[in-house]
Amino acid sequence: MNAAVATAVFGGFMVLTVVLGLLAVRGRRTAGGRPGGGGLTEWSVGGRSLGTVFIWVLMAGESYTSFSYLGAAGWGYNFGAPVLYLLAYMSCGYALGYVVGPMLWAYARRHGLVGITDIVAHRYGRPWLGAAVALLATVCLLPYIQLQITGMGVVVSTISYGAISLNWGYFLSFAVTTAFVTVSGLRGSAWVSVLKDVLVVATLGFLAVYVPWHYFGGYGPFLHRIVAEKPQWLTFPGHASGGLGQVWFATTTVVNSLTVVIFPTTVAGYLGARNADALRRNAMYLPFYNVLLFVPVLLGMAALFVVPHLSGAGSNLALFKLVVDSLPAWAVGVIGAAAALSSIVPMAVFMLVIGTMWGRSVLGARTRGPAGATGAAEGGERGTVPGGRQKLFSQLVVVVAGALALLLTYTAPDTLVRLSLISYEGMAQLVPMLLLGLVWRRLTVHAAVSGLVVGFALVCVLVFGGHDPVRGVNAGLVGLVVNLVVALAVTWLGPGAKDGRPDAEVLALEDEFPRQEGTAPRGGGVSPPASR
Amino acid sequence: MRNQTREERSPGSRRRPALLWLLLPYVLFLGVLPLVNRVTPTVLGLPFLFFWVLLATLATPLSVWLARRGDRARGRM
Repeated sequence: MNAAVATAVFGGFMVLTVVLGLLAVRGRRTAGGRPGGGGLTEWSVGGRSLGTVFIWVLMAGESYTSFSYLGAAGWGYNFGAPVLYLLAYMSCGYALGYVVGPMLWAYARRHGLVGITDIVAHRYGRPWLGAAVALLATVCLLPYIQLQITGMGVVVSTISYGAISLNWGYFLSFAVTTAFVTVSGLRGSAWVSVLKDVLVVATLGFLAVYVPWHYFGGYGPFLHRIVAEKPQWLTFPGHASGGLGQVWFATTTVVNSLTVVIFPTTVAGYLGARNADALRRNAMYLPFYNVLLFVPVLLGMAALFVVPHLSGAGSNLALFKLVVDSLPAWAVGVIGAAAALSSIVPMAVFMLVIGTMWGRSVLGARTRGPAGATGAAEGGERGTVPGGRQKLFSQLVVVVAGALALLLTYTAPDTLVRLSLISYEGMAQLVPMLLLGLVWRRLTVHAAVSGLVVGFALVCVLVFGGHDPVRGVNAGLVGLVVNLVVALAVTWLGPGAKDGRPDAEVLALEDEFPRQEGTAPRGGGVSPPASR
Repeated sequence: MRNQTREERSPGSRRRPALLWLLLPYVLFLGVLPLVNRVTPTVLGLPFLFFWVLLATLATPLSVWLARRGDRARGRM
């Protein structure tokens, strides 16, 4: 009975998700006075037309993943304080996004670019570099998709009281996500994010009040009991965390906050914005969402008293054990839907980003040598024939990438947290190539690539060799520092760049802060104004 | 189209001191960590470290707002 009710409620939300995702593109094909509006730009970055609210919803939606429900509660349960790194790096990253977001947005719009691989290819004038970065980023992102798949599988099987098996749960996440993202792209993800954020805010808000009241008789007694009985969990280095001390926290926050602003999914959100000021406003409003992260953390610690002795992957279910144990079936279904959407939305954007990178920079790469201004702008901005083909490639890759991740989930499952850390530390190595490259002309392609290769290799050695953290320091930061040193050394000692383009064409100098009402780029004319 | 973008962008016009406000979250989350890494005193029942992180989280929008205010003032000049 319980299983039937919870599953039915959950199923209803899944249907609603797909419908909402598909409805998002209704009327977009012909709208806007731009013929062929259904091209790659429309699909990958929502035609650069999302306003402040949609950007907020989307970016909050994609950052609050299944890890937030499962891993955050699990870390809270196992270690305690170290899990606060999530709040720290996301807050710092949002603040940093105030500068980086508008910079990338303006650069991408001016040159008609749709993702980080595109940006890199344009900056260094090397299409192959875009393809190489796409490959690297895919390796980093695939585990992330798998993470969402496993997360959703676990949630679905738990909240259906076991009626839906893990394997079917995995498949369901793939099916629901693919169903809408292949068709409606970033815009569909933004629409689904609305449902997701409403559910997440409502259910976490409810749980934050209900769980302490139900089990402890209120917040006071709950917190009092934690302070009295589990003080080890409440400061760094936490409980039995194996070296996750203050230094680890600080270094992880620094490297992750730098990484999150260039993370391909974040950048997809940036590029979807209607104008740069929507991003600036969001940098201000987004950190509020982080307050919600306290809920799974605290409830994970509450689970210490209610369901002690969870271990390994079981601790990821700390939050859901409480939910299933204390709430009626329909509520379990709703909370399950919120958690499932926390897998679906990020997964949709991950798949979309992989599709975009491949469709644009690998399969659909321009073959006419270094990307000139005109070539870059034509690519997909106006939905020309190449743009249409790039979109088709992208959609195909979305399905392939999702299917691959699903296959990996069945054949090579792993625990949640390690995977996400490897992804992040690897992706961090793109920071110099991308961010430094866009503001510093002298950084040559040789230097950027050398730094990236050395940094990435070092991170792999450290992480897979079991040396992360290195004496308490996040391995990603070690890699990043070495990466930067190598890049600077090669810039100064290595071959110079032979790139005749002017600075304004290569660097992200103008961040389009609104001056006297107008937002038109002064060096523009390459692409039509995105605001309409 | 190519050369007109180098125009009158003096180095000074790109200086944005208000952006230093964006470092505030780093100071609050990381800089003072050794001082706040403690259970007591509890504030509103929250262990001190958790209270501090909550405070820093809520201060982040404020720091962005201050940076933006500086930028807007610059933009209007």
